[in-house]
Amino acid sequence: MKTFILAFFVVFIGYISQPDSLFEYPSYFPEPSYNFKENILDSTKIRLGRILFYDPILSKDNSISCASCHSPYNSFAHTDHSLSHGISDSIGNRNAPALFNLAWQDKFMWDGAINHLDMQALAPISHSGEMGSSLSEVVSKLNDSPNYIKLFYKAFKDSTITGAKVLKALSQFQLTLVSANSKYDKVQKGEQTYTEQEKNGYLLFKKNCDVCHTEPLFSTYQFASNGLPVDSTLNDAGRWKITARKEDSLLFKIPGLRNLSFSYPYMHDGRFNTLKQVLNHYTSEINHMPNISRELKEQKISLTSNEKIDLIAFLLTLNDPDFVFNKKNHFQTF
Amino acid sequence: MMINKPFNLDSISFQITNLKYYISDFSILYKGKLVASSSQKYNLIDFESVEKSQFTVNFWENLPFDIVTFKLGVDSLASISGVYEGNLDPMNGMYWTWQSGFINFKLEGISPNCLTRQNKFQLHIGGYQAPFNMMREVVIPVNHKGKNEIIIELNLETLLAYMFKNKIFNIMSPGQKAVSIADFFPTIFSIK
Repeated sequence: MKTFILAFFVVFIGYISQPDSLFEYPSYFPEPSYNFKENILDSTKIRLGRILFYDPILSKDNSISCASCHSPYNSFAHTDHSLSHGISDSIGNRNAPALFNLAWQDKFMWDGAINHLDMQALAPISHSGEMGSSLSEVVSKLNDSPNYIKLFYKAFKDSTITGAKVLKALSQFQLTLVSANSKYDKVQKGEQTYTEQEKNGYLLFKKNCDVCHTEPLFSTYQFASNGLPVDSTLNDAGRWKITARKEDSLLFKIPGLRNLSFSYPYMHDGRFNTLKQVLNHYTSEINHMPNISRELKEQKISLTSNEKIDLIAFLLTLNDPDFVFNKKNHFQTF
Repeated sequence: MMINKPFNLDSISFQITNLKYYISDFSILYKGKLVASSSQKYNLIDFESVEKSQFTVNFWENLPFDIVTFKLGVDSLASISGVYEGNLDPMNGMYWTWQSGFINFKLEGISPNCLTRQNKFQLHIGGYQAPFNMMREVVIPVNHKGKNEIIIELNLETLLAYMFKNKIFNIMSPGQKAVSIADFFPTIFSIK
Protein backbone atom coordinates (compact mmCIF):
# COMPACT_ATOMS: atom_id res chain seq x y z
CA MET A 1 0.00 0.00 0.00
CA LYS A 2 2.78 2.41 0.94
CA THR A 3 4.62 1.76 -2.33
CA PHE A 4 1.51 2.62 -4.26
CA ILE A 5 1.13 5.97 -2.52
CA LEU A 6 4.76 6.82 -3.11
CA ALA A 7 4.51 6.02 -6.80
CA PHE A 8 1.48 8.25 -7.11
CA PHE A 9 3.31 11.09 -5.41
CA VAL A 10 6.27 10.91 -7.81
CA VAL A 11 4.02 10.99 -10.84
CA PHE A 12 2.19 14.00 -9.48
CA ILE A 13 5.38 15.98 -8.85
CA GLY A 14 6.61 15.02 -12.31
CA TYR A 15 3.42 16.42 -13.79
CA ILE A 16 3.37 19.77 -12.03
CA SER A 17 7.04 20.49 -12.56
CA GLN A 18 6.77 20.02 -16.33
CA PRO A 19 6.54 23.73 -17.32
CA ASP A 20 9.51 24.65 -15.08
CA SER A 21 11.80 22.28 -16.95
CA LEU A 22 11.52 24.54 -20.00
CA PHE A 23 13.22 27.34 -18.08
CA GLU A 24 15.52 26.49 -15.21
CA TYR A 25 18.03 28.62 -13.37
CA PRO A 26 20.07 28.25 -10.20
CA SER A 27 18.80 29.46 -6.84
CA TYR A 28 21.50 32.16 -6.60
CA PHE A 29 20.23 33.85 -9.79
CA PRO A 30 17.82 36.78 -9.30
CA GLU A 31 14.21 36.60 -10.53
CA PRO A 32 14.05 37.08 -14.30
CA SER A 33 12.62 40.39 -15.46
CA TYR A 34 10.79 39.00 -18.51
CA ASN A 35 7.05 38.80 -17.90
CA PHE A 36 6.37 35.14 -18.66
CA LYS A 37 2.67 35.56 -17.88
CA GLU A 38 2.21 37.39 -21.18
CA ASN A 39 4.07 34.69 -23.14
CA ILE A 40 3.79 31.41 -21.26
CA LEU A 41 6.53 29.01 -22.30
CA ASP A 42 5.38 26.02 -24.26
CA SER A 43 7.53 23.39 -25.95
CA THR A 44 5.81 23.73 -29.35
CA LYS A 45 6.27 27.51 -29.29
CA ILE A 46 9.92 27.15 -28.27
CA ARG A 47 10.49 24.70 -31.12
CA LEU A 48 8.78 27.08 -33.57
CA GLY A 49 10.97 29.96 -32.35
CA ARG A 50 14.04 27.77 -32.73
CA ILE A 51 13.11 26.91 -36.34
CA LEU A 52 12.52 30.60 -37.12
CA PHE A 53 15.84 31.55 -35.49
CA TYR A 54 17.71 29.29 -37.91
CA ASP A 55 15.63 30.10 -41.01
CA PRO A 56 16.92 32.68 -43.54
CA ILE A 57 13.29 33.25 -44.58
CA LEU A 58 13.44 36.18 -42.14
CA SER A 59 15.71 38.09 -44.55
CA LYS A 60 14.70 39.83 -47.76
CA ASP A 61 16.62 37.51 -50.09
CA ASN A 62 16.41 34.39 -47.90
CA SER A 63 20.16 34.47 -47.29
CA ILE A 64 20.60 35.48 -43.64
CA SER A 65 19.14 33.94 -40.51
CA CYS A 66 19.46 35.11 -36.91
CA ALA A 67 22.07 32.38 -36.51
CA SER A 68 24.20 33.86 -39.30
CA CYS A 69 25.49 36.39 -36.76
CA HIS A 70 24.41 34.58 -33.60
CA SER A 71 25.95 31.14 -33.98
CA PRO A 72 25.21 28.63 -31.22
CA TYR A 73 28.83 27.43 -31.22
CA ASN A 74 29.96 30.98 -30.45
CA SER A 75 27.56 31.39 -27.56
CA PHE A 76 25.29 33.00 -30.17
CA ALA A 77 27.85 35.66 -31.14
CA HIS A 78 29.84 35.92 -34.38
CA THR A 79 33.37 34.88 -33.49
CA ASP A 80 36.17 36.42 -35.53
CA HIS A 81 33.93 39.11 -36.99
CA SER A 82 34.25 42.54 -35.42
CA LEU A 83 31.11 43.96 -37.05
CA SER A 84 27.80 42.33 -37.92
CA HIS A 85 27.04 41.08 -41.40
CA GLY A 86 23.90 41.41 -43.49
CA ILE A 87 22.33 40.71 -46.87
CA SER A 88 24.33 41.46 -50.03
CA ASP A 89 27.63 41.40 -48.12
CA SER A 90 26.77 44.49 -46.12
CA ILE A 91 28.70 45.17 -42.93
CA GLY A 92 27.04 46.82 -39.95
CA ASN A 93 28.61 49.14 -37.42
CA ARG A 94 28.44 47.05 -34.23
CA ASN A 95 29.58 43.67 -32.99
CA ALA A 96 26.89 41.00 -32.83
CA PRO A 97 26.59 40.32 -29.09
CA ALA A 98 26.47 36.85 -27.55
CA LEU A 99 22.96 35.75 -26.57
CA PHE A 100 22.35 34.18 -23.18
CA ASN A 101 20.37 34.92 -20.04
CA LEU A 102 18.12 37.31 -21.99
CA ALA A 103 15.25 36.79 -19.54
CA TRP A 104 17.17 38.95 -17.04
CA GLN A 105 17.59 41.90 -19.41
CA ASP A 106 15.10 44.60 -20.26
CA LYS A 107 17.03 46.80 -22.65
CA PHE A 108 18.48 45.34 -25.82
CA MET A 109 21.11 46.34 -28.39
CA TRP A 110 24.40 48.03 -27.47
CA ASP A 111 22.57 51.34 -27.08
CA GLY A 112 19.44 49.97 -25.38
CA ALA A 113 17.25 51.10 -28.29
CA ILE A 114 14.85 48.21 -27.78
CA ASN A 115 12.77 48.06 -24.61
CA HIS A 116 11.51 44.46 -24.68
CA LEU A 117 12.82 41.09 -25.86
CA ASP A 118 9.65 40.58 -27.95
CA MET A 119 10.47 43.69 -29.99
CA GLN A 120 14.18 43.03 -30.44
CA ALA A 121 13.92 40.88 -33.58
CA LEU A 122 12.19 43.74 -35.42
CA ALA A 123 15.48 45.64 -35.55
CA PRO A 124 17.64 43.08 -37.43
CA ILE A 125 14.68 41.96 -39.61
CA SER A 126 14.10 45.53 -40.81
CA HIS A 127 17.63 46.97 -40.90
CA SER A 128 18.83 47.42 -44.48
CA GLY A 129 22.34 46.31 -43.48
CA GLU A 130 21.12 43.18 -41.71
CA MET A 131 18.08 41.26 -42.98
CA GLY A 132 16.58 44.11 -45.04
CA SER A 133 13.03 42.82 -44.78
CA SER A 134 9.99 43.87 -42.74
CA LEU A 135 7.75 42.06 -40.30
CA SER A 136 4.80 42.25 -42.71
CA GLU A 137 6.92 40.77 -45.52
CA VAL A 138 8.08 37.95 -43.21
CA VAL A 139 4.50 37.26 -42.14
CA SER A 140 3.29 37.06 -45.73
CA LYS A 141 6.14 34.66 -46.67
CA LEU A 142 5.35 32.46 -43.66
CA ASN A 143 1.65 32.46 -44.51
CA ASP A 144 2.62 30.99 -47.91
CA SER A 145 4.43 28.09 -46.25
CA PRO A 146 2.30 25.01 -45.46
CA ASN A 147 5.01 23.84 -43.03
CA TYR A 148 4.86 27.06 -41.03
CA ILE A 149 1.06 27.23 -41.11
CA LYS A 150 1.06 23.75 -39.53
CA LEU A 151 3.64 24.73 -36.92
CA PHE A 152 1.89 27.97 -35.97
CA TYR A 153 -1.38 26.13 -35.67
CA LYS A 154 0.23 23.56 -33.40
CA ALA A 155 1.81 26.26 -31.26
CA PHE A 156 -0.95 28.90 -31.11
CA LYS A 157 -4.09 26.92 -32.08
CA ASP A 158 -4.58 29.46 -34.84
CA SER A 159 -3.35 29.02 -38.39
CA THR A 160 -3.27 32.73 -39.24
CA ILE A 161 0.32 33.81 -38.78
CA THR A 162 0.69 37.33 -37.35
CA GLY A 163 3.65 39.52 -36.49
CA ALA A 164 2.91 39.16 -32.79
CA LYS A 165 3.06 35.36 -33.01
CA VAL A 166 6.36 35.41 -34.91
CA LEU A 167 7.92 37.72 -32.31
CA LYS A 168 6.55 35.76 -29.35
CA ALA A 169 7.86 32.48 -30.74
CA LEU A 170 11.32 34.00 -31.29
CA SER A 171 11.24 35.26 -27.68
CA GLN A 172 10.28 31.81 -26.42
CA PHE A 173 13.33 30.16 -27.96
CA GLN A 174 15.69 32.94 -26.87
CA LEU A 175 14.36 32.87 -23.30
CA THR A 176 15.46 29.25 -23.02
CA LEU A 177 19.08 30.25 -23.75
CA VAL A 178 20.14 30.12 -20.12
CA SER A 179 23.86 29.83 -19.42
CA ALA A 180 24.29 28.72 -15.81
CA ASN A 181 26.58 25.71 -15.77
CA SER A 182 30.08 27.14 -16.03
CA LYS A 183 32.83 26.17 -13.60
CA TYR A 184 31.88 29.34 -11.67
CA ASP A 185 28.36 27.92 -11.31
CA LYS A 186 29.68 24.51 -10.29
CA VAL A 187 31.75 26.18 -7.58
CA GLN A 188 28.65 28.11 -6.46
CA LYS A 189 26.77 24.82 -6.24
CA GLY A 190 29.62 23.20 -4.30
CA GLU A 191 30.37 20.69 -7.06
CA GLN A 192 33.87 21.94 -7.90
CA THR A 193 36.58 24.16 -6.42
CA TYR A 194 38.77 26.86 -7.94
CA THR A 195 42.50 26.40 -8.47
CA GLU A 196 44.76 28.77 -6.50
CA GLN A 197 45.17 30.88 -9.64
CA GLU A 198 41.41 31.08 -10.27
CA LYS A 199 40.83 31.91 -6.60
CA ASN A 200 43.26 34.79 -6.80
CA GLY A 201 41.67 35.90 -10.08
CA TYR A 202 38.25 35.86 -8.41
CA LEU A 203 39.51 38.18 -5.65
CA LEU A 204 40.94 40.54 -8.27
CA PHE A 205 37.65 40.36 -10.16
CA LYS A 206 35.65 41.29 -7.07
CA LYS A 207 37.95 44.20 -6.36
CA ASN A 208 38.10 45.64 -9.88
CA CYS A 209 35.27 44.42 -12.10
CA ASP A 210 32.29 43.19 -10.09
CA VAL A 211 30.71 46.61 -9.59
CA CYS A 212 29.64 46.72 -13.27
CA HIS A 213 29.99 43.05 -14.24
CA THR A 214 28.04 41.94 -11.21
CA GLU A 215 27.67 38.26 -10.27
CA PRO A 216 26.00 35.95 -11.03
CA LEU A 217 24.92 37.41 -14.39
CA PHE A 218 28.23 39.26 -14.66
CA SER A 219 26.54 42.47 -15.72
CA THR A 220 24.23 45.05 -14.24
CA TYR A 221 22.92 45.41 -17.82
CA GLN A 222 23.16 49.18 -17.40
CA PHE A 223 24.95 51.58 -19.75
CA ALA A 224 28.41 53.01 -19.19
CA SER A 225 31.42 54.47 -20.91
CA ASN A 226 34.53 52.42 -20.27
CA GLY A 227 36.87 54.97 -21.81
CA LEU A 228 37.26 53.49 -25.27
CA PRO A 229 38.54 56.12 -27.70
CA VAL A 230 36.02 56.82 -30.47
CA ASP A 231 36.64 54.88 -33.66
CA SER A 232 36.55 57.67 -36.25
CA THR A 233 35.51 55.25 -38.99
CA LEU A 234 32.26 54.56 -37.11
CA ASN A 235 31.67 57.65 -34.94
CA ASP A 236 29.22 55.70 -32.84
CA ALA A 237 27.77 57.85 -30.05
CA GLY A 238 26.01 54.89 -28.40
CA ARG A 239 23.09 55.56 -26.11
CA TRP A 240 23.06 59.29 -26.87
CA LYS A 241 21.28 58.60 -30.15
CA ILE A 242 18.45 56.90 -28.26
CA THR A 243 17.90 59.19 -25.28
CA ALA A 244 19.07 62.47 -26.87
CA ARG A 245 20.71 63.21 -23.51
CA LYS A 246 24.23 64.55 -23.73
CA GLU A 247 25.28 62.64 -20.62
CA ASP A 248 24.54 59.41 -22.51
CA SER A 249 27.14 60.16 -25.17
CA LEU A 250 29.44 57.14 -25.77
CA LEU A 251 27.60 54.95 -23.28
CA PHE A 252 27.11 51.32 -24.29
CA LYS A 253 25.46 48.36 -22.63
CA ILE A 254 27.61 46.50 -20.12
CA PRO A 255 27.87 42.95 -21.47
CA GLY A 256 27.67 39.77 -19.39
CA LEU A 257 31.04 38.02 -19.22
CA ARG A 258 30.02 34.40 -19.61
CA ASN A 259 31.40 32.33 -22.51
CA LEU A 260 34.19 34.77 -23.39
CA SER A 261 36.32 32.08 -25.05
CA PHE A 262 33.53 31.41 -27.52
CA SER A 263 32.48 34.95 -28.29
CA TYR A 264 35.50 37.10 -29.16
CA PRO A 265 36.11 39.77 -30.41
CA TYR A 266 35.09 42.08 -27.57
CA MET A 267 33.51 45.52 -27.12
CA HIS A 268 30.62 47.13 -29.04
CA ASP A 269 32.75 47.40 -32.16
CA GLY A 270 34.69 44.18 -31.69
CA ARG A 271 37.98 46.04 -31.48
CA PHE A 272 39.76 43.62 -29.12
CA ASN A 273 40.53 40.04 -30.07
CA THR A 274 41.97 38.86 -26.77
CA LEU A 275 41.17 39.21 -23.09
CA LYS A 276 44.72 40.46 -22.56
CA GLN A 277 43.99 43.43 -24.83
CA VAL A 278 40.82 44.08 -22.83
CA LEU A 279 42.69 44.09 -19.53
CA ASN A 280 45.44 46.28 -20.96
CA HIS A 281 42.75 48.75 -21.95
CA TYR A 282 41.40 48.92 -18.41
CA THR A 283 44.81 49.24 -16.78
CA SER A 284 46.62 51.61 -19.10
CA GLU A 285 44.69 52.75 -22.19
CA ILE A 286 41.56 54.34 -20.79
CA ASN A 287 40.64 57.62 -22.44
CA HIS A 288 39.39 59.82 -19.58
CA MET A 289 36.50 61.41 -21.44
CA PRO A 290 33.86 63.53 -19.60
CA ASN A 291 31.24 60.80 -19.51
CA ILE A 292 33.47 57.99 -18.29
CA SER A 293 31.78 55.77 -15.72
CA ARG A 294 32.04 56.91 -12.13
CA GLU A 295 33.62 53.58 -11.16
CA LEU A 296 36.52 53.98 -13.57
CA LYS A 297 36.95 57.62 -12.64
CA GLU A 298 37.13 56.95 -8.91
CA GLN A 299 39.26 53.84 -8.91
CA LYS A 300 42.20 53.26 -11.19
CA ILE A 301 42.56 49.60 -12.10
CA SER A 302 46.11 48.51 -11.62
CA LEU A 303 47.20 44.93 -12.21
CA THR A 304 50.61 43.32 -12.49
CA SER A 305 51.14 41.01 -15.44
CA ASN A 306 50.83 38.00 -13.11
CA GLU A 307 47.57 39.38 -11.76
CA LYS A 308 46.25 39.80 -15.30
CA ILE A 309 46.97 36.13 -15.94
CA ASP A 310 45.15 35.15 -12.72
CA LEU A 311 42.19 37.35 -13.58
CA ILE A 312 41.95 35.79 -17.03
CA ALA A 313 42.07 32.33 -15.41
CA PHE A 314 39.01 33.32 -13.39
CA LEU A 315 37.23 34.79 -16.43
CA LEU A 316 37.70 31.47 -18.19
CA THR A 317 35.76 29.74 -15.40
CA LEU A 318 32.73 31.61 -16.81
CA ASN A 319 32.87 29.53 -19.98
CA ASP A 320 29.86 27.26 -20.13
CA PRO A 321 30.46 24.45 -22.64
CA ASP A 322 27.26 22.73 -21.48
CA PHE A 323 25.40 25.76 -22.81
CA VAL A 324 27.41 26.22 -25.99
CA PHE A 325 27.29 22.56 -27.01
CA ASN A 326 23.77 21.87 -25.82
CA LYS A 327 21.98 20.27 -28.78
CA LYS A 328 18.60 21.60 -27.67
CA ASN A 329 19.77 25.07 -28.76
CA HIS A 330 21.25 24.02 -32.08
CA PHE A 331 19.95 24.03 -35.65
CA GLN A 332 16.42 22.79 -36.07
CA THR A 333 14.12 22.58 -39.05
CA PHE A 334 10.62 21.22 -39.62
CA MET B 1 -9.81 62.99 -46.89
CA MET B 2 -8.66 61.19 -49.92
CA ILE B 3 -5.43 59.34 -50.51
CA ASN B 4 -3.51 60.03 -53.71
CA LYS B 5 -5.78 62.90 -54.83
CA PRO B 6 -4.14 66.21 -55.67
CA PHE B 7 -4.82 69.06 -53.26
CA ASN B 8 -3.84 72.68 -53.10
CA LEU B 9 -2.98 74.70 -50.06
CA ASP B 10 -2.57 78.33 -51.04
CA SER B 11 -0.20 77.97 -53.95
CA ILE B 12 1.28 74.65 -52.84
CA SER B 13 0.12 71.46 -54.52
CA PHE B 14 0.54 68.11 -52.81
CA GLN B 15 -0.77 64.56 -52.51
CA ILE B 16 -1.16 62.47 -49.41
CA THR B 17 -0.03 58.89 -50.03
CA ASN B 18 -0.43 57.42 -46.56
CA LEU B 19 -2.30 58.52 -43.46
CA LYS B 20 -2.63 56.28 -40.42
CA TYR B 21 -3.01 56.98 -36.74
CA TYR B 22 -4.05 55.43 -33.45
CA ILE B 23 -7.19 56.51 -31.63
CA SER B 24 -7.27 55.14 -28.11
CA ASP B 25 -9.74 55.32 -25.22
CA PHE B 26 -12.50 56.71 -27.43
CA SER B 27 -15.37 57.88 -25.20
CA ILE B 28 -18.59 59.79 -25.43
CA LEU B 29 -19.63 61.86 -22.42
CA TYR B 30 -22.70 63.71 -21.23
CA LYS B 31 -22.34 66.29 -18.47
CA GLY B 32 -19.04 64.73 -17.48
CA LYS B 33 -20.42 61.20 -17.28
CA LEU B 34 -19.45 58.36 -19.58
CA VAL B 35 -22.21 57.45 -22.05
CA ALA B 36 -20.29 54.97 -24.20
CA SER B 37 -16.80 53.95 -25.14
CA SER B 38 -15.13 51.98 -27.88
CA SER B 39 -14.95 48.28 -27.12
CA GLN B 40 -11.41 48.29 -28.42
CA LYS B 41 -8.92 50.33 -26.43
CA TYR B 42 -6.74 50.94 -29.49
CA ASN B 43 -8.24 51.69 -32.89
CA LEU B 44 -6.02 52.04 -35.91
CA ILE B 45 -7.38 54.48 -38.46
CA ASP B 46 -6.05 53.97 -41.98
CA PHE B 47 -7.20 56.19 -44.83
CA GLU B 48 -6.20 53.56 -47.36
CA SER B 49 -9.81 52.36 -47.26
CA VAL B 50 -13.18 53.58 -45.99
CA GLU B 51 -13.62 50.54 -43.71
CA LYS B 52 -10.29 51.09 -42.03
CA SER B 53 -11.12 54.71 -41.29
CA GLN B 54 -14.17 53.75 -39.24
CA PHE B 55 -14.84 51.93 -36.04
CA THR B 56 -17.95 51.05 -34.08
CA VAL B 57 -19.04 52.26 -30.67
CA ASN B 58 -22.13 50.61 -29.27
CA PHE B 59 -24.54 52.83 -27.39
CA TRP B 60 -28.26 53.23 -26.84
CA GLU B 61 -30.02 55.20 -29.52
CA ASN B 62 -30.90 58.79 -28.76
CA LEU B 63 -28.85 59.06 -25.59
CA PRO B 64 -27.66 62.63 -25.27
CA PHE B 65 -23.96 63.45 -25.27
CA ASP B 66 -21.98 66.65 -25.31
CA ILE B 67 -18.33 65.58 -25.47
CA VAL B 68 -16.40 63.21 -27.70
CA THR B 69 -12.94 62.51 -26.41
CA PHE B 70 -10.02 60.24 -27.29
CA LYS B 71 -6.27 60.08 -27.21
CA LEU B 72 -4.29 60.32 -30.38
CA GLY B 73 -1.62 57.67 -29.99
CA VAL B 74 -0.67 54.75 -27.78
CA ASP B 75 0.08 55.06 -24.07
CA SER B 76 3.48 54.36 -22.55
CA LEU B 77 2.36 51.16 -20.77
CA ALA B 78 1.52 49.44 -24.06
CA SER B 79 4.77 50.84 -25.47
CA ILE B 80 6.95 48.99 -22.98
CA SER B 81 5.07 45.72 -22.42
CA GLY B 82 6.10 43.61 -25.39
CA VAL B 83 4.16 42.56 -28.43
CA TYR B 84 0.37 42.53 -28.93
CA GLU B 85 -1.91 41.05 -31.56
CA GLY B 86 -4.33 43.08 -33.65
CA ASN B 87 -4.12 46.83 -34.03
CA LEU B 88 -0.88 47.03 -32.05
CA ASP B 89 0.89 44.26 -34.00
CA PRO B 90 4.15 45.74 -35.36
CA MET B 91 3.32 44.21 -38.75
CA ASN B 92 0.93 47.15 -39.23
CA GLY B 93 3.97 49.33 -39.81
CA MET B 94 3.12 51.59 -36.89
CA TYR B 95 5.97 50.49 -34.64
CA TRP B 96 9.54 51.66 -35.02
CA THR B 97 12.08 48.96 -35.65
CA TRP B 98 15.33 50.75 -34.84
CA GLN B 99 14.06 52.00 -31.49
CA SER B 100 11.10 50.82 -29.44
CA GLY B 101 7.95 52.89 -29.62
CA PHE B 102 4.71 53.22 -31.54
CA ILE B 103 4.26 55.66 -34.38
CA ASN B 104 1.12 57.44 -33.17
CA PHE B 105 0.53 59.35 -36.37
CA LYS B 106 1.94 58.66 -39.81
CA LEU B 107 1.47 61.18 -42.61
CA GLU B 108 3.28 60.68 -45.91
CA GLY B 109 2.94 62.41 -49.23
CA ILE B 110 4.57 64.19 -52.10
CA SER B 111 4.76 67.81 -53.15
CA PRO B 112 6.94 69.72 -55.64
CA ASN B 113 7.55 72.12 -52.76
CA CYS B 114 9.43 69.41 -50.84
CA LEU B 115 13.05 69.66 -51.81
CA THR B 116 13.66 66.14 -50.61
CA ARG B 117 14.42 62.88 -52.39
CA GLN B 118 11.52 62.16 -54.77
CA ASN B 119 9.74 65.22 -53.31
CA LYS B 120 8.48 63.12 -50.42
CA PHE B 121 7.43 64.22 -46.99
CA GLN B 122 7.13 61.72 -44.15
CA LEU B 123 5.98 62.65 -40.69
CA HIS B 124 6.23 59.72 -38.29
CA ILE B 125 5.13 61.14 -34.96
CA GLY B 126 5.56 58.78 -32.04
CA GLY B 127 7.46 57.80 -28.94
CA TYR B 128 6.49 57.63 -25.30
CA GLN B 129 9.49 58.72 -23.25
CA ALA B 130 9.39 62.09 -21.49
CA PRO B 131 9.94 64.82 -22.53
CA PHE B 132 8.99 63.50 -25.96
CA ASN B 133 5.73 61.70 -25.23
CA MET B 134 3.73 62.25 -28.40
CA MET B 135 0.31 61.06 -27.23
CA ARG B 136 -2.21 63.92 -27.19
CA GLU B 137 -5.68 64.12 -25.70
CA VAL B 138 -8.44 65.35 -27.96
CA VAL B 139 -11.68 66.76 -26.54
CA ILE B 140 -14.44 67.79 -28.94
CA PRO B 141 -17.58 69.48 -27.59
CA VAL B 142 -20.60 68.50 -29.67
CA ASN B 143 -24.16 69.53 -30.15
CA HIS B 144 -25.79 66.11 -30.45
CA LYS B 145 -28.86 65.94 -32.64
CA GLY B 146 -29.86 62.31 -32.21
CA LYS B 147 -27.64 60.87 -34.93
CA ASN B 148 -26.33 57.34 -34.83
CA GLU B 149 -23.28 58.14 -36.83
CA ILE B 150 -20.61 60.52 -35.68
CA ILE B 151 -18.43 61.92 -38.40
CA ILE B 152 -15.21 63.28 -37.04
CA GLU B 153 -13.53 65.57 -39.48
CA LEU B 154 -9.82 65.80 -39.70
CA ASN B 155 -8.52 69.10 -40.96
CA LEU B 156 -4.83 68.97 -41.78
CA GLU B 157 -4.64 72.48 -43.20
CA THR B 158 -2.92 74.13 -40.22
CA LEU B 159 -0.55 71.24 -39.74
CA LEU B 160 0.43 71.10 -43.40
CA ALA B 161 0.82 74.88 -43.62
CA TYR B 162 3.18 74.69 -40.65
CA MET B 163 5.10 71.82 -42.25
CA PHE B 164 5.58 73.66 -45.55
CA LYS B 165 6.39 76.97 -43.90
CA ASN B 166 9.04 75.47 -41.62
CA LYS B 167 10.23 72.92 -44.19
CA ILE B 168 9.79 70.02 -41.78
CA PHE B 169 9.55 67.19 -44.28
CA ASN B 170 11.13 64.25 -42.47
CA ILE B 171 10.44 63.20 -38.92
CA MET B 172 11.28 59.62 -38.00
CA SER B 173 12.10 59.91 -34.30
CA PRO B 174 10.79 61.51 -31.11
CA GLY B 175 12.18 64.99 -30.51
CA GLN B 176 11.41 68.71 -30.53
CA LYS B 177 10.33 68.74 -34.19
CA ALA B 178 7.91 65.90 -33.55
CA VAL B 179 6.51 67.75 -30.52
CA SER B 180 5.78 70.78 -32.69
CA ILE B 181 3.66 68.58 -34.96
CA ALA B 182 2.01 66.59 -32.14
CA ASP B 183 0.88 69.85 -30.55
CA PHE B 184 -1.48 70.34 -33.51
CA PHE B 185 -3.35 67.11 -32.72
CA PRO B 186 -5.82 68.49 -30.16
CA THR B 187 -7.05 71.10 -32.65
CA ILE B 188 -7.27 69.25 -35.97
CA PHE B 189 -10.37 67.19 -35.20
CA SER B 190 -13.89 68.53 -35.25
CA ILE B 191 -17.52 67.39 -35.44
CA LYS B 192 -20.12 69.25 -37.42
